[in-house]
Amino acid sequence: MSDAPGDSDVALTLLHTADWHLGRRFPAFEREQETRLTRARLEVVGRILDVAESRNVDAVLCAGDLFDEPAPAQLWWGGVLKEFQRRHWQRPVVLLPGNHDPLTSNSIYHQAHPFRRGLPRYVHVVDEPGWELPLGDNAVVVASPCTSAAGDTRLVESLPKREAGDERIRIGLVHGQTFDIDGHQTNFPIPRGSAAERGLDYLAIGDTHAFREVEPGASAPTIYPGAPEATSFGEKDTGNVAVVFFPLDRRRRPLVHREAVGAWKWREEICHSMPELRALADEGELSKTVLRLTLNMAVPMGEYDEAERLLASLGGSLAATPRVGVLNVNREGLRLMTEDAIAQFNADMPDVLRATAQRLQTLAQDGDPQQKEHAERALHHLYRLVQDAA
Amino acid sequence: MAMWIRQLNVKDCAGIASARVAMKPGLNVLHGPNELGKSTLVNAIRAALLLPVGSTAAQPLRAWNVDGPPSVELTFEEEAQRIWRVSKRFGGGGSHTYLEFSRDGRQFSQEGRGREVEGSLQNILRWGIEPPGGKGGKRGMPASFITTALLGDQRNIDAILEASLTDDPNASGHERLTEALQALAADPRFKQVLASVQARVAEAFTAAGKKKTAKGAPWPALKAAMSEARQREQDARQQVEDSASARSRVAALQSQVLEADAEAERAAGDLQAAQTAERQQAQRTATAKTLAAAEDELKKAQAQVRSRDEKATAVAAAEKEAEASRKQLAAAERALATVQPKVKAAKERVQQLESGDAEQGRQLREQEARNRQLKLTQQKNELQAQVADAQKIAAREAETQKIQTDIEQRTKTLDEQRSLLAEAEAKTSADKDQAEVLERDRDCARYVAAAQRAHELAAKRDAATASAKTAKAREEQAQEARGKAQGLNAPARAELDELQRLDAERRVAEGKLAVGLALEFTPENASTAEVTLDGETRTREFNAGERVRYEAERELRLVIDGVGVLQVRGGGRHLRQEAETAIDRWRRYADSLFERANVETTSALEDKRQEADKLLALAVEHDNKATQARLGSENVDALEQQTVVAKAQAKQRREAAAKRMEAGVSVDDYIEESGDLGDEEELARAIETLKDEVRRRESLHAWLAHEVEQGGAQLDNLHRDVERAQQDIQDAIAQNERWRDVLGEAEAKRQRQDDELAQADAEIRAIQAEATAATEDARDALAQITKEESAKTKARDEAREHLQDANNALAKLQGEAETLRTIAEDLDLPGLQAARDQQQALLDALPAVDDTPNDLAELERFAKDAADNATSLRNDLSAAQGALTQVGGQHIEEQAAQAKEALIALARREHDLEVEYGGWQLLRETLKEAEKEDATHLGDALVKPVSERMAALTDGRYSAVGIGPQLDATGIRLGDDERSFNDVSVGTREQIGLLLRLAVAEALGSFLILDDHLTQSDQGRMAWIRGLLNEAAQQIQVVVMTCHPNAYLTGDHSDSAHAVDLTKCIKRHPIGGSAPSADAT
Repeated sequence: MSDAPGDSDVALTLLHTADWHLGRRFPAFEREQETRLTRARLEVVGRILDVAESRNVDAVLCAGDLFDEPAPAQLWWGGVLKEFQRRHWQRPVVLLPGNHDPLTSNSIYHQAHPFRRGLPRYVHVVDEPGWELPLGDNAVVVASPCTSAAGDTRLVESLPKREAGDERIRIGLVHGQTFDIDGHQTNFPIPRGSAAERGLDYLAIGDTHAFREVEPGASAPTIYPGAPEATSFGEKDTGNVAVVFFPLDRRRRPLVHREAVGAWKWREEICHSMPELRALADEGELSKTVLRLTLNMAVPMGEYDEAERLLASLGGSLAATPRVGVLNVNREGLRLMTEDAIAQFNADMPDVLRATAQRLQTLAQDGDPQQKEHAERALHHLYRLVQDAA
Repeated sequence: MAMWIRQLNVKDCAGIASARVAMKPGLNVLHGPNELGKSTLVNAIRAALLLPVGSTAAQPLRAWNVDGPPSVELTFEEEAQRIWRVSKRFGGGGSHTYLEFSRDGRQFSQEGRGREVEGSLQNILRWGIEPPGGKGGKRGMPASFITTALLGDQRNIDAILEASLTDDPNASGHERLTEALQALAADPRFKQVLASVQARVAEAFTAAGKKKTAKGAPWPALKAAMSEARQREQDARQQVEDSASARSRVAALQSQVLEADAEAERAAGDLQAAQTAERQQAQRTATAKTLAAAEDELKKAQAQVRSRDEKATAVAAAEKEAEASRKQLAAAERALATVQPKVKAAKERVQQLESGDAEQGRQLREQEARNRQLKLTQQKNELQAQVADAQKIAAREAETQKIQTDIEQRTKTLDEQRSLLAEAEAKTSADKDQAEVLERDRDCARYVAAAQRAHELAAKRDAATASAKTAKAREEQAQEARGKAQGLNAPARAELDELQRLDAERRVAEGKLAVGLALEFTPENASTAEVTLDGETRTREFNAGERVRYEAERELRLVIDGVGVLQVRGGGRHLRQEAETAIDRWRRYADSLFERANVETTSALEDKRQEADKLLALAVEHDNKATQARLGSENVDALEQQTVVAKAQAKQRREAAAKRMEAGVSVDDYIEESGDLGDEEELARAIETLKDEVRRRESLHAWLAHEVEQGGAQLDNLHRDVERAQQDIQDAIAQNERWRDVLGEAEAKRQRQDDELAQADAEIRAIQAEATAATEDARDALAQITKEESAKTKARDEAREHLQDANNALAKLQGEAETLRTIAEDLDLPGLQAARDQQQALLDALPAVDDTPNDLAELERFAKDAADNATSLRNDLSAAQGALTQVGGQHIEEQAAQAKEALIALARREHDLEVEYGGWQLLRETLKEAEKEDATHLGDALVKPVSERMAALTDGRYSAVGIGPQLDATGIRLGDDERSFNDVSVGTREQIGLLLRLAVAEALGSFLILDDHLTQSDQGRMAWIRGLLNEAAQQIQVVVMTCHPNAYLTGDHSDSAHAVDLTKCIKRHPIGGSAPSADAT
């Protein structure tokens, strides 16, 4: 709380989060790795709620896409339910259906769904346009849910405008895209200036996975808190929630604090040489790292063998725990320098094995691309077996 | 043991009628005199393994004096628990081939038959023989390098020395030898590497090199994941396309709605314009219609004037026509009047002719003839009735005769059946008696069996009881021995061990004190001293001035009278303390044992222990005996029960048997007299058979009785029928006594009546022909004139009708002309013309309309369609927008990207796996190729064993045998000279051939057949070879066919060889005789 305003200055504190994407699959990874990553998404929910407790916020606003699909497996909604049920809170938590988990007849937000029925009283679901939840006498949350996976409805325009004489802190909550995202079709568009136009003090939105303030400096901030755990390589500024402090002095704009909650880092590395690979292998804690490693180097037999061992160390094996949480290796660029491969074999190797190595070396140099690749690998297999035998 | 022959059975092969030869692993010496058939047996082995049954090479196997086909059955063990039996019969249509498999050599299951067997055999043997069916196969007994080596004729030594793998029909022999010789020669490191590589390859590939699909192999899971990912990617792509398509559809529909709205507006404008034009057109049409009506009126009036004028012309013409018709009628009436008098005259002439007397007489005669004809017909009918009655009587009489015959036949049959019935009853009774006897026997047999069982069980029970007593006695003895052992209070073995350990410890501790002590002194006065050296004490007297010297190991003590005690101990204080402690420990422990055992020495303790051990061993022995006895007595209760039950059963059976006994005969007497009653089950079967027979007879009996009864009843009916028929005949005869005469005369009377009737008929026809010609002529004339009158009458009637028609037409025309004239007088032609002109002027005054007036209905339809289309498109647009909200959007694109990424990742994993296992596979292939190349010179592997043995055999005279890459023997080294085989003696060649064959058999792990070999070797070499064969027979089976068994069955190994006297196994065909009927065994 050191960087937060003093309690006496604050009229209201909110935790704003979005885009949990629970139940999201990672089919590009092996099953066990995928399980680790999907589990991570559930684990971060607990940490988010812990932050809410430690910050003693007045409400938690979840701005959509909490689930990756409208009707996820029980594992996911059951996990969230358990997190809510074990906390005996009074502070409201507001769940907003997003475009991934829209409010439809078969979604978990439907009144008949066991998730909805199992939610504690302090957890509220936004289930109609222009939904309102007063936060005491001095604040109110207004929200509109997504009711479909896509659409050009401007949900923010369905939020009621501030009425004359209403001095309460007004917080808007919608899911959608602002107009300034290149390369995307605008889904449930949120026009610039919407916060001011609807008379809001803060517009809590969700959809984009990066933490972003849409109109920096605007008197009423419009904030994307981003995904609390990244969902793919290349995403920046993920792993956060927004803690928002509303000053007692209404002339001052709310203070938005970015708080890290994510555990996993997604990295992409390309190694062009053995020193680079060694340096990577020497790094400390990598157990919560999703590493996409591309090898792009041609090395002699000894280093090829070393590279294989380093990769085995990073990725784990039957005998060793992986050092990297999730490792995805593209080894197509790892090639064996075959010119003097034979010279690196044991000198007292039997003639028949030497002849084998000679044949493979010839094939690795003169064969077609596939033969070359197989011959290189075969040479290394032979090298390892001979070394082991020695 | 490697592959070996277990059994060879031969039938009708060459001179052998039958032979059964059992063999064993190791050396088999099959001996018998010349011409017994040893070579035939070798040929039979070759034929069983190599020769298809249809081959002409089987001809030599045929027995020369027997027609039956030769057959061979060979059982061999490929390896432990893989036993094959091949059976072949070589004989044209009667040929067969079977291959059977067994694991235990007893239970065989068929694995193949016919031609497939040869293929299977060659797959098992892999001797380089091509299975039958391929083209270009050589005739004769199939041969290859291996068959020559293992089964070759030793007498044909050149064939063996010249054999080479290059001549093999297929490569299987080469491959097998390569494997075998490589296995001999391969480097262990190479083997280790190859084994590792093969294990890795086997993880992913089948033996055929295909990717494994079994669970645990690396491919299936990846393949399934790829398939799933591909499907997901395809679905996602489809969804994206659907989404894009939905977006495009929305855009397209929006554009279409705009266009449709414009089109609808256009259509509405067109409709309005068309409706105005329509109204103007209607007005013009109405005016034109009025004009047309006026014109019609005018034209109608003008036509009526023209009709009036035309009608007046027609009236004048009709008046002329009527006048002409009147004239025609007058002419016709005149013509008729001329014919009518002629008709009257003709009629009168005919009437006159028909009323004459001649005609009346003719008619009278005709009537008389007809009367006579009628009477004759009546007589004929009466005669026919009489004949019919007589025929009925005759038929009844014949029927009666037939019944009489039937009665006689049936009576005879009935008598036969009654006889059969009596016979069947007699036999049934006899069978029943026999069945009773058998049942008595059976019951007695059952009683005897039960009694025997009861007796046996009682004996067993008694034995078990005795065992129980023995067991109890032994147990008591064991108990007693244990009691004695315990009474000895001997130390336990562990206590003795501990005591020994403490003793040893003590000794060691004491040993440490044994540092060596020496004492020298010179007493001044003579004295006596007690000297103790290391615990051994003696008394010694010293002289004054005597120099005394004592030495001890650890303790030296002198007690000198009057001087004192001098005691010297070895070791320091600690060592002494240690020794004392050890001694004390040992002492205390030993004392406790001594006290308990009541002995004083360690050896006594040991004795006590041994004595106790003996007693305990005795107890154990008693226990074992008791256990054995207990085992024998375990089921004594069960036996007791079984005995009681068996006795009760015997008693029951005895009672059952007694019931079947005849009065005054006891069961025991009957059994004694009967001697062997026979087997109970056989008796039961005999009884059952007899009862079946009785049942069959009773069934026959019932059938016969039924038949007899039925036959009797039918006979009675027939008797009654006969009586009735005879009565009927009597009644008929009473009414017609002359029936036989009537039948006899009937034909003559009928003939006579027929003649008379024919005569009357001819008379009638003659009378009728008498009518006169004159009457006929008059009738013809009348007919002619009547016809003419009719024609003229008709012409007059037609003229009359014509005149009437002309008058009617004239009257009608005159009426019409009058009407037209009256109408024409009332017509106002100028007025009608003026009205028409007025309407024309009105029409000309109306505005002109398009030449092609619009189809208003069409326009209305267009307008409606356009409006409907716009509405429909708007609905579609709404639906498409709705659908877009559900399926479209960034969500789908994210999923598609994700699915694509997954597919790429999986493809990379698949590639990595392909490379990984492709590398292993390539490594394995390359290793094998290198190995093959390394071992191409197969001969090198055999040179050493063959050469060493040859050198040993010849005392180093011959050193190295040359064997080529394809195992062809090339020559032999004598000293420094390389010699060809042609340059060495027959005996040496024979020996080289044997050694080469032996080396091949050893390399392959196969049996070796040697037929009358080494005829050229001297006694010394024979002895060496005998030893060699016995040595080789430790690993492989060697089968020697010889007429000199002593050459192999003497010496150190004679006991281990399996000698087979073939004279006891082979039965030859008698020369010039027929084949024996059964196998010799």
